[in-house]
Amino acid sequence: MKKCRDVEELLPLYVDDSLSGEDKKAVEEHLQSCPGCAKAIAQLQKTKTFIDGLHEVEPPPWFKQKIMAQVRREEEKKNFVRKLFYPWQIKIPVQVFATVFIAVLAFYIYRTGEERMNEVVSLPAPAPVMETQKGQMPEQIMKTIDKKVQKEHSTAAKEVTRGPVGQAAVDMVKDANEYVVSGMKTDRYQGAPAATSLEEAKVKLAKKKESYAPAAALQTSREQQDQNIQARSNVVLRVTDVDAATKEVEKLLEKYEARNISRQMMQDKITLEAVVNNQKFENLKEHLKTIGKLEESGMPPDDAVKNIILIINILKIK
Amino acid sequence: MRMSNISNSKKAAARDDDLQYVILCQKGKTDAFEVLVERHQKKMLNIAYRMMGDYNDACDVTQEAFIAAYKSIKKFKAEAKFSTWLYRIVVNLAKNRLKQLSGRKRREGPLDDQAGNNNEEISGQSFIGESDPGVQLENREREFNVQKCITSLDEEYREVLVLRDIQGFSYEEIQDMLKIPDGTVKSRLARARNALKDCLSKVIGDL
Repeated sequence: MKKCRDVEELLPLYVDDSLSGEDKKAVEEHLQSCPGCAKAIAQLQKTKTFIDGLHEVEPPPWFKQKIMAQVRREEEKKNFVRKLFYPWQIKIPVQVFATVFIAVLAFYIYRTGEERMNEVVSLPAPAPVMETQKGQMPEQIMKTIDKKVQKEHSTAAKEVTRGPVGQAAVDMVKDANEYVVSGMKTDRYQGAPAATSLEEAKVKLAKKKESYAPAAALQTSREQQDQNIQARSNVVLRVTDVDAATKEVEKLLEKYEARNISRQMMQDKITLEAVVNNQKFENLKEHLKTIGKLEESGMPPDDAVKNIILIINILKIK
Repeated sequence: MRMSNISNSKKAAARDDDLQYVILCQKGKTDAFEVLVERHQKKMLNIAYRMMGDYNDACDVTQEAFIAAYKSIKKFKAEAKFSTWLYRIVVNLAKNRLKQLSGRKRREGPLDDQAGNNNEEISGQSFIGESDPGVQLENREREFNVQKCITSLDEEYREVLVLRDIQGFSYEEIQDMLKIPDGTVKSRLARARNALKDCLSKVIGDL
């Protein structure tokens, strides 16, 4: 026999007959002897009728339409997002996109590269700044320039003669003597007088000497060129910031198409050396004055001189 | 046990009349959803109404539930009946809304009168068929009290009571909807009925 408390939990399920056979039997037995629980059952049944009597509410008018309108709005929103991210309805394989992307990227890189190349190419020709060691003085650079010039000349001269003018003269004499000997030899067969042939030989020698003239002319032009380069100008530039000024001067030198720029660093000064066109020298000096206090030592170079070896000593203002 | 549940659900799904429309919706045919709304709107609304006790709130929640269902219709895997899935959504949304409302009520103070009037008006609709004005009034008052008692129940009791006693779902369906075991459904239902009985005895007097 179950107590009221145990049955209390089962009574509500007894009402709609959802108890198992065993529980149902126990409840029925209990109800027979318990008026309280019997009353509870009655109340539960009444409650059930009340609940069953509840009316269903109807949806408001246009409820379905309202819902569908909202559903369609959602769909449009979704489609909009889809269109935004996948603007193409046709499904183009991703590989095609990748290929196009790479092609465009490659073209872009190529273009930028070309621009950079142009920048590099359009810079004033060879202005390599050589950092010379302490003690490696301008003479050394001069030597290299000389060597270069000499090389050019010697190749030109080779066509005419192998050595310098003096050597050529010795050769010529040799030639003449040979000619005389040969003349004498031919004389044996032709019977011509030896004196005449000697005269002839001398004329020929003079002619040959003339043919050596271009070599001599080249020699002179070479000397002149050397002279041109060797016109030197020494200036002192006093500045507050040596390093910054050096950079500025280097830029300036490049701008003025200076060649063979070299830099020498010492404890308290920086010496820049370059070969500058004389015609541009005055303008360059004006520019240098804007960087620092410019001091010129010695005579300004002759106007006839084409190139100047310019030595700029950049010093800190004391 | 679990296995049998699944097979039951599958059997149920196999008989699901909604499934063809659900599949159409999943393929992007929006119009197919209209059929589903048409079929379920009344039941959805009534579940929400009995859970919440306020007609306008119930309409809002029902609408919200349909939209939510549409948005996630692709996630519906036909493991249970579509209706079960749909009603679960409305029950959960109603519970969430009630939590929000109770929070607001606590902050702003009770607005019972307004809600009460509104509900009487709405429930008035249902008694048009009744000719006797006296009986009409009595029915209306009784219904109002019953609803008041339902609304006073704890949430977990209310939902089983609404689903079983008002909507007449089977224990199995309720299990699926609320995702609680069979025993729990029964014990909650027993407590819900007792609590409702006690509430009605208090409000109406001797039953």
